[in-house]
Amino acid sequence: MDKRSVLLEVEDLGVDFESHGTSYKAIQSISLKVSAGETVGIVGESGSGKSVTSLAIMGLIKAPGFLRSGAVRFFGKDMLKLSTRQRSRYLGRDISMIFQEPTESLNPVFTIAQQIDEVLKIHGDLRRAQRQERLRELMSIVGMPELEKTLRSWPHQLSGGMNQRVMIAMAIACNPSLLIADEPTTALDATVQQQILVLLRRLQRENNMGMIFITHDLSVVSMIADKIIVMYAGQIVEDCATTDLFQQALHPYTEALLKSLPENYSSANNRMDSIKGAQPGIGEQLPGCSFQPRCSYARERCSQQKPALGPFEKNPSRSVRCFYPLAGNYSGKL
Amino acid sequence: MMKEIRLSESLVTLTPRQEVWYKFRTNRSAMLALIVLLLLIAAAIFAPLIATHGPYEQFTDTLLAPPYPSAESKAGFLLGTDDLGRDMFSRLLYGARYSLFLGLAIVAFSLIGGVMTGAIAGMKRGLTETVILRLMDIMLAIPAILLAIVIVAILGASLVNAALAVSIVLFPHFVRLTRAAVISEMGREYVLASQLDGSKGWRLFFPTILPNISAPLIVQSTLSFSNAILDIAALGFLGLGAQPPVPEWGSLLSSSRELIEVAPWTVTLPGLAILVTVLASNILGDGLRDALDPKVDA
Amino acid sequence: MPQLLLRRLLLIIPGFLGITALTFFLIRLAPGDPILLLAGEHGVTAERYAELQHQFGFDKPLLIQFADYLWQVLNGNLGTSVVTQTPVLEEFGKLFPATLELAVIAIIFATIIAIPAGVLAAVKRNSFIDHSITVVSLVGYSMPIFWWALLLILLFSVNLGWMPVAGRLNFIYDIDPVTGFMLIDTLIAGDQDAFLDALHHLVLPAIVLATIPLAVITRMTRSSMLEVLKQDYIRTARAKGISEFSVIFKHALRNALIPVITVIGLQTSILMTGAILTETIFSWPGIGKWILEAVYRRDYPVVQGGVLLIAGLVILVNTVVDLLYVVINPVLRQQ
Repeated sequence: MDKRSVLLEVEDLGVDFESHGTSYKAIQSISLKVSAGETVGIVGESGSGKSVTSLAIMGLIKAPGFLRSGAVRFFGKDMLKLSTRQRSRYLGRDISMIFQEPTESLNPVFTIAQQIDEVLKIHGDLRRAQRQERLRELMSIVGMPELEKTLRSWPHQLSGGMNQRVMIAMAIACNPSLLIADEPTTALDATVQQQILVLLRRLQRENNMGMIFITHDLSVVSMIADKIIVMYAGQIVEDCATTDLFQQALHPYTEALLKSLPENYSSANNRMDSIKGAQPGIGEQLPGCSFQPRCSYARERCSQQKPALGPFEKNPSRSVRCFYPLAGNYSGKL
Repeated sequence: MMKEIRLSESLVTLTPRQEVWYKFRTNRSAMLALIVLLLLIAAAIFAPLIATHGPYEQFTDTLLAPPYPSAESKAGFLLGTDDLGRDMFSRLLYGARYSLFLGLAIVAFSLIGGVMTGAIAGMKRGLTETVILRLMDIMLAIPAILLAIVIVAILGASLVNAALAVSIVLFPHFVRLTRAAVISEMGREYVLASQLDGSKGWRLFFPTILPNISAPLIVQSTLSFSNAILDIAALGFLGLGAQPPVPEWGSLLSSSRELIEVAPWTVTLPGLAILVTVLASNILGDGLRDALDPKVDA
Repeated sequence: MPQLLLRRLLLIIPGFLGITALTFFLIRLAPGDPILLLAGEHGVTAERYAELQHQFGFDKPLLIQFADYLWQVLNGNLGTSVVTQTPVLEEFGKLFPATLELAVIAIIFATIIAIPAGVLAAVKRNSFIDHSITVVSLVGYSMPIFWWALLLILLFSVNLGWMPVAGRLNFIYDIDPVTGFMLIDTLIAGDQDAFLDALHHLVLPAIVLATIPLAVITRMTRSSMLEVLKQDYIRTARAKGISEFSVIFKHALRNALIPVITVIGLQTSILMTGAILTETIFSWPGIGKWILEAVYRRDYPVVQGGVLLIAGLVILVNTVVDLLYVVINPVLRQQ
């Protein structure tokens, strides 16, 4: 497979969530592409819709959420048009996902061995002995200490880091082309975080996997993503290569995120900046730009019209959703 | 029909108490149950005004008349008569007084006694707590009706004794609930603050702790109310509670058991009355629990 | 784990002592002079009275009486029925299988229907099916079961004539009570008609007795499933491509059943309560009816012994359930 062939194409994805007779937009007009060997990072605060996006891509949105619009083309095939049963053939085999709370995400009444074996059983045609061998292979790939003991254990007996390795093992068991990682390191200690990130990076390189890495932590995503998508209030506000983003943020929100990174603490500022205010709540719809109330660059137009996501004039490979992107103009329409 | 998102309304914040009431109010079946119960209580209170006849009056020329829609029903006897010519409707109405008021009295007794005992257990801990807990466990090991029957057997068969017996049977539930709730509250800051202020014992419990544990107690009370009604009726049915001719619903079933073939309405109606009352109480209890529990998502 | 087992088993002792003490002192409170009751109907002279008093130890201090009683109980002597003059333990032994048979059939019936119903209600949450199941189970435990029994009798025995009203077996059959379980005994005797007849007699009482457990287990299963289906690991299971059927019946149900199993076990107390009423209405010769009649007839040794045995049974079952819970819940097993 050509290293840069496109695995996943998400087009105009929108998810609504219904509560007491009214529907609220959880995410809207989400579009992105992931290529083989590429990591796309999705960054945003909690409530920005990043997890919803990942679940929508997998087709795992359930009531009270429902899919409003969009297509998710995996190797050209629209996953969202498939029935649940058809889609389940891909899940766990070609597209896998790992989650934020690894211990909660594993079934407490089955052993580790049983849970990983299950993936191998339903998606492959390996015989029992071969599956047992593959189990051990996977455990050593993810660097699990005390292999045999771990296999016989239950999730609650293992640490968060170990359980995350288990989840990763389950996810890569059938050599997926795409891995979606939803805040995989957020719940872990800093040192373990590092190890998991290194592991993911290595697996990706070895298998030429595409990866979507979701996090709220810009410093984490900078270590692992090739492209970054910044989400705010259910929409994409900036989309560009990682190096570009850290060189110059275009959207005021992105700039604020960068400024609030601990490493950007400077004696000049004399304090760490945090972004004042909060995201609009579910259901709150402003007439203008959703970030406007917290934007220090906001002008009159910003509270009256909604900016669309469009290419940045000076560098069309970047997109931004802003009338007045920092460092220049953009050519998007209203 | 989904409506699109409305333009930003001001986000209304409700106090916890308002939120509870709101959740309850929008629960249609719970509201319906509450109305039914209130109607029943009203019917019981105003029985003398609503009843068409006296509950003990016998009309010897209208024995075993069926209820209204039937061809052989007699005028004025809405729900028929029994084997002594007594009006079913009136007897049921007066019977409501026994079930409902006894139920309330029983719950009140068990609640007050149980809460105080549970509070003692939860606050004193140590030996006192262990003794109380063990005693409650033993009482709970004896099946409810059996315990009630034995107590009535000892005290003698009467309505009052039956009520007392049922109070005793329901007592351990309140004790355990209160004790558990008290123990979990004791570590909280507001309790410590109060203790530093000098409150202890009942001065600590009643104004400070009790309001914060009232939610599960309220739910348990409705549950106990249901059980009280069923247990009193059971004892009445077994002849160990209300004695004839008192029109308590359970004992009505006992005396009409033999009439089951000739006058089935004398059997179906009192039971139906019990069912409706208990059902309403249970639905109410469920609704209260859903409204009061922040996590529940039934 | 062995320590836990031991500790839990040891807890039975104070429970047992407590029950014995409770029944002992409770019966002492009964009206009527126990000696006169024990002596029977013919009255008693002052001498005989003193004799009996000494014989039964009523002249000793209360605590000694209790110790004696306890010793008797531990030796298997729970007194003698004043009505039938048979030892209480023996009567219990003869009648218990009837209740056990009824209770076991009832609980199996309840579980077989309740668990699928609860799962269905949870999976199809807030649908018509869910609401129907919820309403039906609400009605189930809001009904006075003696009334329910009468209604069923009215419908199936009186009006339709399909079901018999009383007893375990039509009197034309003469079956040897080998185990005491009519279903088994009729099979042992090789009498197919009798077996069917026994089954026939079981139907209505079992339905009545099963009603409350059915309602409770359904509700419990439903709410447990709802809780489990919200968990992260269910989402993981779906993300692994597991079929929805497997997600529900393998991944979810096994977790959801853990609390439900304990609820099933704890229904014993409810079953005993129900048995008293059910057996009375259906003239089922079990311990429920036995103990009720003893109360009517003031047969205090039977009441005392019966309560002790029944409560002891409940404690035993509760202990087993507690231990079972530790076994089936892997999270607790390691401690």
